[in-house]
Amino acid sequence: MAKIDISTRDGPSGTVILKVGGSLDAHTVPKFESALRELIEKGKCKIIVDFARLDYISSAGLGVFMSVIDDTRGKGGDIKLVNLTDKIYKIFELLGFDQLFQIFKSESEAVAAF
Amino acid sequence: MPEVERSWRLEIPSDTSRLADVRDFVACIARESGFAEEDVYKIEMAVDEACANIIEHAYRGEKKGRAARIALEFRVIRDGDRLEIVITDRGIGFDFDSVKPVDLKSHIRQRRSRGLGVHLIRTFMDEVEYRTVEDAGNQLRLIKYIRDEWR
Repeated sequence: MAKIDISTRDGPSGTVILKVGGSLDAHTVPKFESALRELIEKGKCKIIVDFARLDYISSAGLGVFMSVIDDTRGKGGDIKLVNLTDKIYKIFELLGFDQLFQIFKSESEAVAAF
Repeated sequence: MPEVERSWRLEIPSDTSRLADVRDFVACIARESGFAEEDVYKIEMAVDEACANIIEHAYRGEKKGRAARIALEFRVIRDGDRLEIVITDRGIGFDFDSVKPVDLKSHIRQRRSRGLGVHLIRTFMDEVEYRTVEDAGNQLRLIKYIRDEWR
């Protein structure tokens, strides 16, 4: 069965770091979506998602980012992605997601881009 | 004659809890067939999307949860550099060809989270065919070729 690990912590300059590990698929996506929406509802809209420990993402996982990104941008924030594995970066590139989301190699680069 | 032809029948709960097992199973087949890791991942994702669609749409309206089970039949045919995976289900058919190419920016504007699965399957597989056969169920045929540069 797919497992997902999610943790959040406050980062510098009003950012929040959301770490996701394991698999983000149709089964685990509701848990991730709740965590993301909870941050936005609390007004924490400068979100950095750390993919370092993410092994798998399906279209359901990609879809969550698409459905909430404008909510963060509308409130002066954004969702920036960091530490994508080569495998997941390639998928983002092939599907055109690298044109829609800012992707960085490290958390500090993402913080500086807000 | 195909080099290898194998068939499996998987009976899984009619929820998405076992998708990880389906992915592991397909990744093994793709690796054994000689695909590079990048393509193994694409095949894994395409099959995952197909099975998630079947679970969520083909059996919609039926009892959900672990008690209810559905059967997915897999036929895998390896012929030279060609891998064909046929997934058969006996749920409600789906008009695969009516799904239009996805405009990602429009998805974002509409805050849509769904509807990417078919786009992903078409992007990652070399050939895709869907048909409903009377008395035989719905068949999704996914074909991928091993690229020469990986040999």
